[in-house]
Amino acid sequence: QKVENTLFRSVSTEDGLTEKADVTSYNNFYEFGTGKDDPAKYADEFNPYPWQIEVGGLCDKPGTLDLESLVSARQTEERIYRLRCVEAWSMVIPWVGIELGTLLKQFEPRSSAKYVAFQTLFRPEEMRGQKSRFSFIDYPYVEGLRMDEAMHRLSFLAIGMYGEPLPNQNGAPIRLVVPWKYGFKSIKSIVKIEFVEEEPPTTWNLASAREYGFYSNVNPNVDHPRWSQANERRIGPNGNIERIPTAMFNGYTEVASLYEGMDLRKFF
Amino acid sequence: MAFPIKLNQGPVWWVLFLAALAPAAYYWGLFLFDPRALGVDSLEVILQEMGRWTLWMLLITLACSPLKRRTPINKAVRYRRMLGLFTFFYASLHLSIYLIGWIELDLAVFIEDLGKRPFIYLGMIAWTGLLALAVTSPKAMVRQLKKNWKRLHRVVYGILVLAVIHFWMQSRVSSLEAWLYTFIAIILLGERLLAKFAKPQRRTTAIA
Repeated sequence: QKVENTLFRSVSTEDGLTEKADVTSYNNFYEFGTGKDDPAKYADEFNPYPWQIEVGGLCDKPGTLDLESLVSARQTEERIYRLRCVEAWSMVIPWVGIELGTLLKQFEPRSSAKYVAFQTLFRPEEMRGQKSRFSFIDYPYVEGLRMDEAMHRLSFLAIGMYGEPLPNQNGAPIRLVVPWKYGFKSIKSIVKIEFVEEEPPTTWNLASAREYGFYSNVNPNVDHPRWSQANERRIGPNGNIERIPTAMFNGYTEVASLYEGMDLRKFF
Repeated sequence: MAFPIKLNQGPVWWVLFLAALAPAAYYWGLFLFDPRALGVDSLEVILQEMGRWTLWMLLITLACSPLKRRTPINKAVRYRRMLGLFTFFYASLHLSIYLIGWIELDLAVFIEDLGKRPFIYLGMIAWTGLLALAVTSPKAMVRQLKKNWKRLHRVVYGILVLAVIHFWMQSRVSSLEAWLYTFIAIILLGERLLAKFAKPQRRTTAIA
């Protein structure tokens, strides 16, 4: 619907881009089914427009954002990020969007707000996965970040990729992208943002706390209980897949200071 | 030795043989010549499919004797050995893809997986069990082992339990398929318990 007119590569990487066709046909978005080809198959049943996001909680200027004004009021950026899935595959994707922190500041969060909670749309009539009785997770999907993580300059809200609006299967019309955390932290199709004092519940942690922590930073030294996180399968240019070592914080070591003094084995 | 194929088998044997071979031919044909047809990560797909067909072959193999006992399809057991060998065949493909393709023969990763990850070591134990059954499957071995052969081949029930647990443990998305296999496995094992305890006088023939 809304195509960006101005964008620039503000954050980039040496790594070659994953093919757009692969990013749009191989991903997890359980709202449309649990297979990695399900989102591409069933996401056209979903109509994201018009779209509004409710922002509230511990802030001085709560309100409702509509997508149009959100985008037209700001300079959108293009950022090329590595995306590392907890299942040990990865991609390199050029996102288009805005920095999360600059948006959050406009709502003037209070000092008592220690975390930011996010929620995905719940609309089972258009999202068939939400009707499944055999799902391992509950809906609506919820995620969260600590305030300093949300305010970090790398935290990003994407409204597009490859210079085009986000395809439905990749989280249209607006999603989070936190490149140093496992992909499931980057919640899709966001309808609600709330400033809260306590660590908010997060979907995969609720499903299996032993396997998925609140932080879920990419960390090659902390294995998933069922598989190693030391390596990943990089789905690279031309669809070539290479097994490569996983980097701490997915290579975004500038975030390390956020976790100084924390035992990352305990707070995984 | 493990594949004592006689070419003068009947038509039913050949139909079953080709049907059991078909999934392997289909997936390997695509994997080698048109991997994109299997999806973005064709290795992941063929790894999962060979595992899935191992489980199906095992369930089909174990359905033979209940079919004989309880349905008119009483000839099914004649083909049980071939189906059992196909279970081993798919399990070996599954294991080879994991070793060669998935971990790229990285010995350190393999040892770590074996030591730390239940679904890897349970899978390895199950495959080792299938290897033992495949090696002792020729008729000469059956004759040689006599009563011990039957005892040894009861290992298959343990393998079934391990295989279903292995499937459960790698499920990270949904439980529907895992429940299906669990359900079939319970029926197959339950039927045997029924056969054993309901008619103790026919015990020696009923257990197979």
